[in-house]
Amino acid sequence: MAVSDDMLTQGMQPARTGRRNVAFLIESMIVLALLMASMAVFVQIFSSAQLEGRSANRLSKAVVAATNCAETFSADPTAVPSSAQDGDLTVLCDVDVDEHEDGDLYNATITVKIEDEVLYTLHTARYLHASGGDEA
Amino acid sequence: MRRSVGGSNRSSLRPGLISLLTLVVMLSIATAAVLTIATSHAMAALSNRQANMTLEGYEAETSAQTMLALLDDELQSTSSAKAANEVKAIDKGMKSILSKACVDGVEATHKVTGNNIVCTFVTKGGRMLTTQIALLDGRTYDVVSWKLTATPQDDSSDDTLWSGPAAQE
Repeated sequence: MAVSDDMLTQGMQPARTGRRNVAFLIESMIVLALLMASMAVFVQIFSSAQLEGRSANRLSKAVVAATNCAETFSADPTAVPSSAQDGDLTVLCDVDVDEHEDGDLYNATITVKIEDEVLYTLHTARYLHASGGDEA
Repeated sequence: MRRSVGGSNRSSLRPGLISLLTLVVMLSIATAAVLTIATSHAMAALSNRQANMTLEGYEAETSAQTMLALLDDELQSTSSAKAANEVKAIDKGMKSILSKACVDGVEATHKVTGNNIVCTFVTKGGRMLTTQIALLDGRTYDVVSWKLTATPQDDSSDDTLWSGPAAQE
């Protein structure tokens, strides 16, 4: 059977275009599925990284706040406030005195909290000689 | 679709422009995610290290202050008759004073040179507090120095990248 070129091209064109559309749709679906899966993984990674970074930042701030309180305590253990606010951090300083023969040993437990969550706890001590001149 | 030289229609796998663009974007986001997670891990490790070092510094400080209080007690309890042999007597008592004064995780040693007592408090993490106390007249003392330092850790030996040409010979 003889078929002219015009008949062939007219018949093949819609079929070829249809196959291309189907291939494009399948490719788009696969790309979309991969995109969704990858985005789900990436969102988890970014959120966990953000949480970890935030907690690290909080810990650093808590360490600085506790060190400040410890140095205040070291300068004068009798005058350190029992509770202080440092930004959104609450610094608690619990001091107890251990009396010695010729002086007092002050022990402090410094706790840094944020909304009832304890971030950092520090113990320090300071000995005050009775004469007040020989202590470190 | 590409027509082959022989004339037959063979379909080859050719990704579209959107797929390529998506691939590039995903690779960029993946790289950013790896960098972000590595940075946050490093920040967390650094913060924990800072927190531990601060904690250990104050542990050594607590031990040293307690030692000072116990040493003061020891000096007050020593009679003036013993004052001549004060340093020798204190040297004997320092071991028990240090064992009472040290908190968990702190090791202390002492050395007596002349009228001076040098006590060293070392924590597990490598913080070292060195105190020098001068005994003045049997019952009083003077704190000569109070130094907190960080000793190098042994686990850094693997960090050596290049030891110079002499090591390679």
